[in-house]
Amino acid sequence: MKKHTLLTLLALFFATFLTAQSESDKLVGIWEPSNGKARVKIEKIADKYYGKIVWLREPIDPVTNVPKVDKNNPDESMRTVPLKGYRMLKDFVFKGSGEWADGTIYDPENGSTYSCVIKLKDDNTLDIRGYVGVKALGRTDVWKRLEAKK
Amino acid sequence: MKHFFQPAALFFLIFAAVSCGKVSTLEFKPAPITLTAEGPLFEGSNTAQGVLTNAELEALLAQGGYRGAAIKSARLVSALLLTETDTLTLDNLSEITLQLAAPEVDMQKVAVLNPVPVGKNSAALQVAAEQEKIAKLLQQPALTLVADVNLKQDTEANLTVKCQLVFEINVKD
Amino acid sequence: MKKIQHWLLLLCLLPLAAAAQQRDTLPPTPAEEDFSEYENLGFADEAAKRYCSPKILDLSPTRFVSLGWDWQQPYQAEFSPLGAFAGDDSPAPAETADFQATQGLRLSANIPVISRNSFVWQMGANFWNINYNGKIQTENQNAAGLTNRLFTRGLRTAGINTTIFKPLGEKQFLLLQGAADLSGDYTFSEFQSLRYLRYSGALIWGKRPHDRLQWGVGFARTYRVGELNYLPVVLYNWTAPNRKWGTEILFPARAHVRRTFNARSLLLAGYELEGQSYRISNLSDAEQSLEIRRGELRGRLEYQRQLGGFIWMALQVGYRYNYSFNADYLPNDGQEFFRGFFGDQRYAMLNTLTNGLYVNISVNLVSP
Repeated sequence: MKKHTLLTLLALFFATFLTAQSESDKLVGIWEPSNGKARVKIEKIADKYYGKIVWLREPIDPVTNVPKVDKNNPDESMRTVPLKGYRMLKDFVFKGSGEWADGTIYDPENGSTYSCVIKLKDDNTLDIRGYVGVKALGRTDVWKRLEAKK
Repeated sequence: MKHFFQPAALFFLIFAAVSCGKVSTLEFKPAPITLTAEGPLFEGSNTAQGVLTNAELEALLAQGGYRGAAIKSARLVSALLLTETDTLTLDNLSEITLQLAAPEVDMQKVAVLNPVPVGKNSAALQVAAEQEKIAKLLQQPALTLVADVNLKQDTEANLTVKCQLVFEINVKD
Repeated sequence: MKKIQHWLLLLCLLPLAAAAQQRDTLPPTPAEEDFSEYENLGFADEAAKRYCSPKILDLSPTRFVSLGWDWQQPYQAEFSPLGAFAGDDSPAPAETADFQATQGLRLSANIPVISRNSFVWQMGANFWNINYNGKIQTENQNAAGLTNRLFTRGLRTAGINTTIFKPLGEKQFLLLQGAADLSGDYTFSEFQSLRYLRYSGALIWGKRPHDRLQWGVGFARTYRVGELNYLPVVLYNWTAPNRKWGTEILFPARAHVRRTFNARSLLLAGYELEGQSYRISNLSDAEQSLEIRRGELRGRLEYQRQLGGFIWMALQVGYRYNYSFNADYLPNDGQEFFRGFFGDQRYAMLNTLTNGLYVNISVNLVSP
């Protein structure tokens, strides 16, 4: 009797744990921001979620004729970091209810880092809100999930 | 008035001395960390990862009679990329960006190499001038080295490179 | 009891099986993906669409909050008596004055209400104050006492505005702006009735063919020349391929050429039309509202620079050309009328201000 109760409790624990894990991993995948200029791969590293640019619509800088780099980074020593592979989403933690927060989003166009919160609207849609200080002072961009063309 | 200011000045000096304390600078050079990405790998952006635990740092601090909590600040001063053996080269790598990550600390971009030199089995990365939270990262039980590597060509093999980091750590006596 | 426990156990283990299944269908680990295939991806949701962005590359930053100070160089003013004048009349001035200091605070805020790919809606509010100081030079018995009124009360305008950006697919958009302004010599203890609100707005249809160009044409109802007018508008925001030069044009309201030094500083050169219709309360009565139709053309250089984080400063130095400081009687206690460029309604006062330099400095919280 005691063995069965223990087994049941253990199973309940794992079931809850695994459901939460699969919910949090819904963020993982390839996504496209609304402007279609890049594609971002979101993956999990050490319990947090990070996104890196894996494709650029215009990968070559028309001025320098070489692959684009992070030329607007406030740290001059980091201005040779290539944009392809750039980690623009960092440190997101799953908060439950389809929300990931405590992260930042970097805009290579102006070298600014914004606080950010991500909400899963449905399995194929993200609301990515970058903001300055408070969420009201921000902008939401809708990202769409990508998959291999059928 | 004199009887007030003199003791007050003395108190202030003692307080400043106690709170500031003497700071010593140590060089922390852990064993080269292996960064791995499992093959097959493809041309373009890939990620290799490695782990640095705090065991070596704790050993260094214990040797000097310091404890982990005494780290006042830390900075990465050099990062050297090495192939597994001298006969291999870094030729298939076009660029590499190195970041440090841990669950309780924001990811920090610490070094970049663009372009990776051809025909070499080692290369020094450009270390970031602006660094934050390195002390906090080093004090975590383990930190993950995340190397975003752009490859020139597809490869069936795993990518394995080593990274020799050197930190400068300021510890409070 | 045992059977219930077995079923409970099975139910609890089902998510384990489901999660295991899901793990098999999660996106593969980096090592298994062919990165060259990132070209050949489509939306997982077949109904998904792309929408054009409201911005192009390198535009000067949009301001959430702005706090500024505006100062004008001393100038002379001549005000006619009250009457009924044709636009080309030259009545002898009833009062003349040296305006030594014309300056004041400028505050504005713009907050996104809805900010999504398919719809952007922003609301804003602004408050501009103008204090006048100087010396009356001459004043005859026909003078309306406008100079004294300006010296003692100054002028101010408070307004709210809204902007809606609606993309029509990837390349086309609609832009709708509206504003309501309350302008006059009121104070906060002697406030002005909202019946004297003046409304303006614009509707633009435009195209955004690529990341460096956005143009549009439309129509506006505006007070930028001081009195009510209806004008066509042209939007032309452009950035050169070298990312160093550009234009920011919303003609005829403003037009600038932009030189971008880097991601943190830029220089604008151009002009802006400013204007409002200010009610002077002591020269108005229940029958008619006397309103100064103030319009200025400000040619300027504006240097914008990031101070830190999202705080930017802007310094404008320029030349203020007085377009209009004439006054109208609005009948029926403030009912607006349309004169335009060809109307022959009479002016209540014909006033002139000489021109001069101005400086405007502001600190701004800018938007992502």
